[in-house]
Amino acid sequence: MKKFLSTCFVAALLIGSTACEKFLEEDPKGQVATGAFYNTVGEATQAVTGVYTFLRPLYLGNSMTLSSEMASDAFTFVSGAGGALVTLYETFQIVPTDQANLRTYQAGYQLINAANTVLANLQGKTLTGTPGKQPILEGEALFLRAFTYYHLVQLYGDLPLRTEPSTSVAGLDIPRSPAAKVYETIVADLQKAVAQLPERSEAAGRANKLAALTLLAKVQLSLKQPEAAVASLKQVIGKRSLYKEYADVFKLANENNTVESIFEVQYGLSPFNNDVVQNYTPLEVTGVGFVFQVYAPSKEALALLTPTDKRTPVTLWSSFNGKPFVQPFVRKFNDALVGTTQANDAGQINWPVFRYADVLLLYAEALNAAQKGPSVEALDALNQVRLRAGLAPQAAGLSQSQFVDAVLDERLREFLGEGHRWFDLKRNDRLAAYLTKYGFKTGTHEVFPIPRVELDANKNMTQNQGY
Amino acid sequence: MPISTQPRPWLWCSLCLVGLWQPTTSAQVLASNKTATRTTQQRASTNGQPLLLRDALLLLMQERKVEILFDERLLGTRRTAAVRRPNATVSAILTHLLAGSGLKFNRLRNNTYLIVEETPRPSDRPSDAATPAAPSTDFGSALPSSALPKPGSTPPAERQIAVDRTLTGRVVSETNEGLPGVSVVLKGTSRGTTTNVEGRFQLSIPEGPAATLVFSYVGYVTQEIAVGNQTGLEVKLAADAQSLNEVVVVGYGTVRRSDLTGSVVSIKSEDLARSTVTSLDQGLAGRAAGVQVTQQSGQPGGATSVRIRGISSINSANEPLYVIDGFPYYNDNSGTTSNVISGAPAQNMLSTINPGDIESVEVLKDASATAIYGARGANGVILITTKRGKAGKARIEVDAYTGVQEVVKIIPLLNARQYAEFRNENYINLLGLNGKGLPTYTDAEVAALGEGTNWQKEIFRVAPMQSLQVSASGGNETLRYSVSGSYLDQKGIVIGTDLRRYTGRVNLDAQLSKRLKLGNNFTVSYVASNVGRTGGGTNGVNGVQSPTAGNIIQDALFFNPVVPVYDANGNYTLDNASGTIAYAAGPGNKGNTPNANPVAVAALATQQNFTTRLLDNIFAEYAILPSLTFRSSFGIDYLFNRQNSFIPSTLSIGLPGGNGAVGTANTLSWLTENTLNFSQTRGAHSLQALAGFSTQKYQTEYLAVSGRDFPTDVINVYNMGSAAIQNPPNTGFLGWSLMSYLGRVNYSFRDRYLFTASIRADGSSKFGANNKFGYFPSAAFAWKLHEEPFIKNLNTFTELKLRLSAGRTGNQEIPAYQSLSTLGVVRFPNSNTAQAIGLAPTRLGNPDIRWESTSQYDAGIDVGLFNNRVQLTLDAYYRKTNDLLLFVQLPFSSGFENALQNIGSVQNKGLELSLQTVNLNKALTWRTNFNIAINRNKVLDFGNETERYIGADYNLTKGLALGVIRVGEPLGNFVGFINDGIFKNQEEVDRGPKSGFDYVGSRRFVDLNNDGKINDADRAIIGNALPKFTGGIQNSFSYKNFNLDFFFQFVYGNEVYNMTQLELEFLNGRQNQSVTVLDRFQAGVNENTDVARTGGYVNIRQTHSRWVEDGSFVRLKNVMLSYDLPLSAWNVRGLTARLYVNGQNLWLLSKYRGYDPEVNINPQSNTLLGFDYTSYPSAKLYTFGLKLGF
Repeated sequence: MKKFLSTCFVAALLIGSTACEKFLEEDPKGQVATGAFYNTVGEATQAVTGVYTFLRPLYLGNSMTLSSEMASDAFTFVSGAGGALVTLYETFQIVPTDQANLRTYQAGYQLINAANTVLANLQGKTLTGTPGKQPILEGEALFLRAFTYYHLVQLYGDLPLRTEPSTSVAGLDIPRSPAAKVYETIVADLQKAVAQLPERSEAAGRANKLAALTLLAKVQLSLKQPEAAVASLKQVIGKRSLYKEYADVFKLANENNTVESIFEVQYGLSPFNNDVVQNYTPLEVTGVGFVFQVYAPSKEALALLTPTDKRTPVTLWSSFNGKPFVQPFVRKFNDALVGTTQANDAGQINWPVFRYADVLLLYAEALNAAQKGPSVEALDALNQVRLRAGLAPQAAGLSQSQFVDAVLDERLREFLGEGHRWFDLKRNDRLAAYLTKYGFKTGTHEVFPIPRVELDANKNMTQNQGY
Repeated sequence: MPISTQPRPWLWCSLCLVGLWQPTTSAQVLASNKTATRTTQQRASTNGQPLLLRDALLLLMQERKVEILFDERLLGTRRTAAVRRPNATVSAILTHLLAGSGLKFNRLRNNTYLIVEETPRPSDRPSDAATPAAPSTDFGSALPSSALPKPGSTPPAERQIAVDRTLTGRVVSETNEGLPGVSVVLKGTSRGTTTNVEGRFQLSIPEGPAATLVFSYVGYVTQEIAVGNQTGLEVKLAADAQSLNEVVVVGYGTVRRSDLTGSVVSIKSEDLARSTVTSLDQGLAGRAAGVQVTQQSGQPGGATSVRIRGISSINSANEPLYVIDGFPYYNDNSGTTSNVISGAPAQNMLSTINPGDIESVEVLKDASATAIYGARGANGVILITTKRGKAGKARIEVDAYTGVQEVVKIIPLLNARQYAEFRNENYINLLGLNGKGLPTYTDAEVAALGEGTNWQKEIFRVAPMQSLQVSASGGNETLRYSVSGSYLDQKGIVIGTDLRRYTGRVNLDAQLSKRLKLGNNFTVSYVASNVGRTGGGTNGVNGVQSPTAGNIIQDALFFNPVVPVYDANGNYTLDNASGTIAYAAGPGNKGNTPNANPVAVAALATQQNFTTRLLDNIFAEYAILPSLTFRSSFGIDYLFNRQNSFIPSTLSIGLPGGNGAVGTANTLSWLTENTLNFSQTRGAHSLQALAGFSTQKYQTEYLAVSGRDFPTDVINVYNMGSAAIQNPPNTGFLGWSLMSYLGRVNYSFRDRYLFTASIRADGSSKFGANNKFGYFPSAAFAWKLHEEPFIKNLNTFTELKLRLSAGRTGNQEIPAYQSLSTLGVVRFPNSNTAQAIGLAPTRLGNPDIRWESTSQYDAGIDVGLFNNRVQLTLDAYYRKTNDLLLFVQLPFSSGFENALQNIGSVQNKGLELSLQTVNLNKALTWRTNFNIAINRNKVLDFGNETERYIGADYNLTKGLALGVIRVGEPLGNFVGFINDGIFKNQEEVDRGPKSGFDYVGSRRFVDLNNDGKINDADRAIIGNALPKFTGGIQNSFSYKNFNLDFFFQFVYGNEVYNMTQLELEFLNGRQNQSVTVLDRFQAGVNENTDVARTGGYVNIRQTHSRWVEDGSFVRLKNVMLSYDLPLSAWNVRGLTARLYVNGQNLWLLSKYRGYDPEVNINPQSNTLLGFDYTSYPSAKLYTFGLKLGF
């Protein structure tokens, strides 16, 4: 008996040690372990959807409008929340500890890592499910990665270039790659995306070939390759058209339209509200206690938006319930929801990232650069946008440089508040010319500071000059 | 030497009874006679000579699990020759062993024998004791119990010296059981006797009143009684709770207190019974040195926090491990097992255990004691042992008490008129600023106002409570049982709150054969409580928002005193009924605050918790050899928790259409353990060894649903599907598993030098693939100096023991799955009303993460003086925790913000002293227990950070840090500005420093860096929540049938951040205020003050030093007076009855202005300590009870 029992005991010990590996393995039910996924088209679609979710924090939180609009000549700070912070952008005194700047950087790399994770897991794999979907999903991930790297490289210059997912806490200290190298990756990704994406989005909010081409053209213009940009844009021209009325662009009912829209960031009812709107919304609308009205159009912008321009009443907002505002605000993103609650959840309207008017103006810009002056074709592209706004066509006879400024003015009128201005000025080498009076310093403010926490945590990271 | 004054020669050996490595002690009669005999034979033959009689007796004790008392000097070097019969009874063997030795034995009790000299007396009658004893025979007076008179029989006729008289009497225990074998000696002589099986004795004493008898008995306090002219005595001996021979439960076994090598505090059921606690953690407060208990709220069943020897972790949990009858349990008050729906007050799962079922609580503090619990031992271990049956007559006990509770304190607030004046002044001041304000109350209205409503008085009540517990225990050699049932009904001092608890317990022990024993511990409990909306503060969005309505305590403090409870129609006054325009000012809006009528909230809103717990542990023990036992056990702990929350539409906070939530959590934990115990004593060597293997698996599943806008309030939470707005259901799963190997060796040499070494290897699922197993060794040495001749000869020390220990323990209380990379569910709107589910990387796994590791060194000394009337234990310790599990910042370019890594270090060092004295030991006995502990905490390393501000997302002061973790500083620091009074005039304002909100009458802060500005750089450490020392003192008096206990608890040197006071001096005109606001700054009227002016200054909620208050206190925690009814006259055997009255929290000495300085709204937090924010106040308690036993 005792022999039996002691044998049992020893057996228990032995069985324990052989079974222990399995016993101590974790099974995180309800959570998906990275790697145990990406086998079917459905799973890959969800993974790609996951990448899209980072667009909201990246592109359209308060953070990105601070750099694209406040750090330009389009907007000025009025009052309200985060005043000191906003003023720092307006006056080019942004510091490395700035939280909004960090959020852009963080959300950007979260998106890139999510895209890298999808791409790495789809590589060399054939998904089960509907055939033909896999290249599209890969194309979307490539587009999103390129889209994000484009913003980051524009904002920060040289970047840690990651094209593989982060899988271990070790070895994350990656040094910066030259901006040219980042652009190479972007172009390569976009070329693949162009080849793999369909012209019509798979579903609302998903990338398509036209979006990839538009972005590619912007990259090519940034790289001073106007001929290539013209070639890219030619593939988009005629694939979309302008709404007859400028106001139709921002109607809730026209979200994700196939008329003018090319790529939109999706917003909806809570918790997906368009939170950037609050910054454009005056105090009189939001009510006592919820002070926003952070961004107001600058004097320059107001001067450009003449009363005859049909875009002016759509863009500017001057009174509420009969009470006039101290100064006009931007109204185009305000739908019926805005002003109905005290909460800061604001509107639900989508954010128009690329639309056909952008393509036309880019085309004008690219032709002007490629042909060293505005051709008829370039003027025609510009005038399509002007005519819809009820303005007289731009007369011929502008120099190449004058035409650059004319297009920039048109872009300001057309896209005020849509997050283009700083990038437009940068692409056309006009940052110093337009922004020096706000505190812009050549050699420093072409890029923003690398966030402090990245420098703290990544010992191979360097700060941008002047910060 | 008379035995009465020198009990030390007695070697009391209960080693075998104790069964050193057996978790259960009472039924270890396993030894096979055959084996026992063979062992003895082998030893005898190996030695080539007969065995020492002493060793033979020790061996017999061990093998037969009996107690044999003898004086070593009597035995001398006597040897015994005979070979014993294997199947003989102990008596037969003893007879055989002692044959021809001149010794004989008396059987004192079942399993207890006393060896005495065979004296050639003419008679064995007690009266012989009157004859002066011969010098050579100290034990001449000790008589076989069989010779004593039978109860009720007439004392034998006197034939002694004429001057003597005969005294008869009985010696009983505290439970009125007769105590056999008690030594009764006439003081100053060697004349004496012992009591018989029923505790009766008879003794001849000299005539005259001067005679004093000394009653001594091992395990009891020696008592002297002046006989006076009495002829019959009933003497009650008090158990010596700190007796050296007391058995102490340690991890996976028990040990004699005198053999402890580690630092262990033992609290017996008698001590717990000194107050009527409803949860055992309350009973620990102040009673054990180095154990600090903090209660989050006075709510029945409210959450507590227990800290043993300071805080060793920053990110992991710090509560001790509880082991309930061998089943480990972590009491996580905030975990999903106890909190399923958000916003509900935290629950204390320990309150599911009935304290009346507890036999003993052992607090294991040093590494020698805790290392056997390996990766879970770093925060100390609390062992809970429930009562077990003992062989003997069935005993039934009934304990019933009833009581009332009331709030300790009401915070003085403005009355209606003062409030109206204050509010008007607020708007007039605002008027001056922005031209908008107008007085809220007209002069006529103000004049008509009086006291108004005191909302605190409206919600507090004198709350009854009652408890009934019935237990039965008993059994025989083969089957023993202990069964109990209890019921507790406690109303809370806040209206609408209560707790009902039903528990049942069956503990069984069955001796299936001589070798095989089975046992089972089964507990079931059900706790239903209305917790009320009394949870910690929930709050608005920006830093300047006021508290949310609907917290009863907050509402009682902040709600408008002008408003009556009921309106003219008898309905609740629901001020601010629209719920949304909370802050609008102006004459039309007399609704002042975002708060609601607390009486209405308490009456109409539902907030309930229901907990069912099943805890069962079944075990078998098999004696492979007399010295080797195998034990196997399997247990489960099943917790089912349900929470309901409903706010009807009649309350503004319930708009629109009511707001409901229901959540459940099912938690199952199972445990298997297999251990081998070896125990053997050979001559001077004694060795015990333990080896074991254990696995535990824990899994919990939760489900919570919530919705808004119900068709009618009648539906409450019982049809969540009818809500018009359905929130997504929240479900989840959490599991972990632990696989462990453990081993321990105890070795003692000559019962003087004790060595303990233990090791546990823990494999935990929570840890990374590269670090699944951790090893936790410990070693300890103790030296019983009092057994050394040079100490013995001093005749000073009853006990003098040095202890040294060192070891390593771990902390694995981090959330599961942190080592894995996972994809999280994210949502993407694919139209304005629909959404798509996506998956995105949310966590970067770290396969290297492992337990936090605490190295602890302890040096202790145990001293017993004057026959143990003074006992002192002093411990010094140093604990250093390395490999702290912290979320370390990653390069954001990785796509991740942080990952859990082992980095950082914290130390605790301290001193603990406990002192027990028997101050008086006559008819009146007076005992004192005192303990004090000092702990110093310091952060040594915080990874790549040197400091981290914490609490920035804290609801109340969102955006403002409340605490700071800084290398070189202790945890628990408050951070903020230093209050520098009020700007009295414009000149002072102009002089600055400027904070951006500087006006005449606003607060000024100290400009630490003298840059003229008040900003983050001017923040300093403005207080610390950790006490400098803590402790308690208990005095127990006993006179005849009366017992009186009173217990003071004290905490010194800690600070409390009084956020309640901050709100009560918020000065914004929107909520009622403390009376201190009457002293507010009023230009030209009252300028010499430290209270700012009213008028809405944003910096008012800045964390600053005015809100830091001294949290030191002395509390009369408990007073209990009991009276044992003199029932002996009834002659009902074993009948006892005790009446008692108990008072708790009767007196508090503290400068603290809030309800109670012993508070933390975030009770188990390691970093945000000592915050008071409208916590449920503590209560005074008076109970009256009766304990019956028969």
